[in-house]
Amino acid sequence: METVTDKDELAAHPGPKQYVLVALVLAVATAMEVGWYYLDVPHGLFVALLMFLAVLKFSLVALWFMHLRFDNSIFKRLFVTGLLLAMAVYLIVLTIFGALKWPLLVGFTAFLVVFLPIFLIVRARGRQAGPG
Amino acid sequence: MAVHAQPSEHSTHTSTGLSNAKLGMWAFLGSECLLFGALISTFLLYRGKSLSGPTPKDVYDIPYTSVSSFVLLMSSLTMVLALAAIQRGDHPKLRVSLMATALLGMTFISGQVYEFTRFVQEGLSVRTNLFGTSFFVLTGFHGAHVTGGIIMLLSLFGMSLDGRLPTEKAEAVELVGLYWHFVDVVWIVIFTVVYLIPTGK
Amino acid sequence: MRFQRPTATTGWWSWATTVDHKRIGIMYGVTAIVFFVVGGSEALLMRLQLARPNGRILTAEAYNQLFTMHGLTMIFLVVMPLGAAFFNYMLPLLIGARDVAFPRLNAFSYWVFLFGGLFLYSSFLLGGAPSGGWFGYAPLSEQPSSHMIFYSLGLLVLGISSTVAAINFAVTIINLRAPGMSLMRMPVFVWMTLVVSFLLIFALPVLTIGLFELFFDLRFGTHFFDPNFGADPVLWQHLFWLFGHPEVYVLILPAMGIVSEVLPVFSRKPLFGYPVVVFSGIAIGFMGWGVWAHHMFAVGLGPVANSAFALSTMFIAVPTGVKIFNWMATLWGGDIRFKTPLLFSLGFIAMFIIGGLSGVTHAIVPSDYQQTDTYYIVAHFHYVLFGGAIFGLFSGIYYWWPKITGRMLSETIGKWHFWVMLIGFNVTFGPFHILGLQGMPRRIYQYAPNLGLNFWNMVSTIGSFMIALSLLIFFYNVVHTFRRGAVAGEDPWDGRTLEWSIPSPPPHYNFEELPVVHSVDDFWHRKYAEGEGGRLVPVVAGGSEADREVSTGDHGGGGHSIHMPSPSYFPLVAALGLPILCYGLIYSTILVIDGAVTLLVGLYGWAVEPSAE
Repeated sequence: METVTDKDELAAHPGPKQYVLVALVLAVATAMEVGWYYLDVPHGLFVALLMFLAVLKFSLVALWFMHLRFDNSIFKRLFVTGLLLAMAVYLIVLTIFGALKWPLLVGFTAFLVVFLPIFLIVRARGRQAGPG
Repeated sequence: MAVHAQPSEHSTHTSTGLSNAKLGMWAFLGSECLLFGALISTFLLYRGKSLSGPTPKDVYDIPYTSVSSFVLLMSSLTMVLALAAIQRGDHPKLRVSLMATALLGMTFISGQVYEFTRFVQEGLSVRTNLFGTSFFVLTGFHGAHVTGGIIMLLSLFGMSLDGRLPTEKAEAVELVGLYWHFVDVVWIVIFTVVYLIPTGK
Repeated sequence: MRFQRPTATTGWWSWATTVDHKRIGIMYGVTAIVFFVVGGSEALLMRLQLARPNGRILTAEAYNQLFTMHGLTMIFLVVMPLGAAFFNYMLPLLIGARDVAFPRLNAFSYWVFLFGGLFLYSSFLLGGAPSGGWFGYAPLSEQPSSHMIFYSLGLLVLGISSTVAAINFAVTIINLRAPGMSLMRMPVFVWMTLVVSFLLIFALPVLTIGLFELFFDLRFGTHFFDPNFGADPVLWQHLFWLFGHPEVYVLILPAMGIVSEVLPVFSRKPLFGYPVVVFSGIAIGFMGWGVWAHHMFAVGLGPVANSAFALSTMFIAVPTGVKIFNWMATLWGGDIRFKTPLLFSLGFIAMFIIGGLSGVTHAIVPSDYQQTDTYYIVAHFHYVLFGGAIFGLFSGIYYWWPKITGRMLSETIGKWHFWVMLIGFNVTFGPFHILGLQGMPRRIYQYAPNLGLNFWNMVSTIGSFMIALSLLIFFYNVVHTFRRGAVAGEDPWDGRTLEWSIPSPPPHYNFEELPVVHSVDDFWHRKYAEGEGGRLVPVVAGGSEADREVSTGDHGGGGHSIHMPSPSYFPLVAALGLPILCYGLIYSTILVIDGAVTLLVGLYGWAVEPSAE
């Protein structure tokens, strides 16, 4: 368990200014989504852009507004477990039905099995090296 | 033998040092991912499979829904400002922010109600086809969650007016906030996956 | 508006307003046993019908209602609540806590369970019980003749009970452990409770949506599972089994946890490979999410999906096998006392191995094409659910009965119960393997006389009455010893875990002083040290108040100043709103409003009532 002094905690805790900034980013992202909707973007690219922005908005709200970035990691783990589990099982169901193409499922599995462990290991090593 | 209560808020000793209620809320939110995931998956499964009736392109009004989405996003801002206010001990600001969040939520719901009424008038009801069935139930569940949130926000507002929401009880605002943000986050997914992607060019 | 908290400690009102985990546990247990008798009676009626070919005791409609309700009852109203009874009663004691994290939510869970079960059963009087099977496959479930509206609403209500209970137990385990009890010092039963809780938290929402979709189809004319509108009934199967498979681990893990507690005590040896047993349980919890479509091999998912799920199903046998080896190694070389709790645990292991083996044969897809929808499958799940879960739960009943009631059950009568039940069980369900491989389909109310099925069906029916007899023996044991049984004392079995360090039955505050824990089986190590050659040497003055290390806070002489949560009637009020709401959804909008108002009043009162009076 990391020991954080009160002063450090206060510094890490966002104030109203940071929240308004996050809200601004959210607003701009939404505007971009709607803007692209009307542009003549190839559908595949459109989907990719929109998914990226959705993930960005989701993460911003979860990490800043819901305070996951600053709280004990157990909350993040609880939530992410539910999220990843949901994505995994529903992706499988939709793929079996043929509603989604196989590459999406393969990509998601690769993400879970390859990228995620590497990310977690690198982050754990980084923590061992000392507080940032 | 006298039986006294030990309210959980006063019990600071837990094995992790974390609040029971906060742990419980996050576990609940984890489960809600599975809930909304099932509804969204049903929608995605049935996309383009309706045998008749209006399609998304026929009825969606993207500019209108975008404004609605923006309203809900901003309500997350007012929500987190409410929490910041009570943590600072600023109770007037708390009440203003709580009421703002509730009002923005109510605006969102009114927008949904208007949108749904229009869809029905245009021939899309929950019974018309697979699109109507999966769309209305998904967004209806989301709307019900928002409504529940609004009731909780107004309750907090009332308690604060009544002097029953002191700074020590800030956690109550935090928990309602977590729920509210989650409902917002679900809408972010719905807006992308149900509105924008299916009908994008 | 201020509401006074109720203060009764005796009488029925004190039970109606209790938030004490021990009383709630007892209520869960008693209710579950009552439903066990009901579900068992349904089974006996079915066995009477099937004892002979062309049986005429039941009509097809009656039979279908019985097998549907039998399945629903045994799974949702017996095995799960019996597990909940033990989680409720024992969990705080095992981790050295005074109660669960959310006592009123705990009471709410129980009342919702009771009302949900009653609601489901009221269907018999209101047009007929559901008859579309406990698994409710569409599109049959959407025929009016299947009466599935009670099914959808009843299970939704029961799902609420289990979800909030699971959140409660998970938070309790994470947050209310005694000082020094790290996660790897918790009893295995507690670990299994934690895994079960997370399985429920994540699996129930999937079923919830499936049930809502079914309900909306039935009540509001939506088309989630209607092929006439282009929908796919297989969606129901995915949603159902995404819940249904984790659910079977919910049913078996508590029993496995009990076995992991009982074996060490009755062989006077620590559990062999504690970390491995714990990790196997966690592995089962994770892997259980990857096998659901093995219930759907014959539906036509395609060879890729079938193969993938066949592989994952074969893999999941591994952690279970690991646990069995660990249990055997626990017994090996132990100083074994063949008391009734141990007998039932041994019965669990033997019967579960058989059920597990037949399960492995299902994993092979071409083989499953032959087995599916036959009595071979019925054999499998009865071996794991009855031979496994029920035997394990009886092991727990006999093991913890002295702690809960303060009296010992009779060993002699207990042994009769065990042997009659074991033999009766095998006589009933063993033949199902044969009948299934001979081609007898499931869910049929009658079979023709020239199919070669007569003999084993009759044998099975005889066996089912043996099971009934064994249960009567158990009830006799209970009644006989209720006032005359030997007084148990704190530690009748020479136990290893914390619950045996307090009086039987425990005082309402559980521990006079919260213990400080130093190891797994901490209580055992307070009693015994290891002498030369590993012999157990009783610790002199071990267990005395003076020597026991206790936490510095939160204690009191004789429990007089220990603060416990106050009783409340709002969980009961809120719970009452749910069945009213459900009746309203079927019959009348006024009842919907009535139910919703009751629920909201209950929740509101709960939120604002004072913490103490």
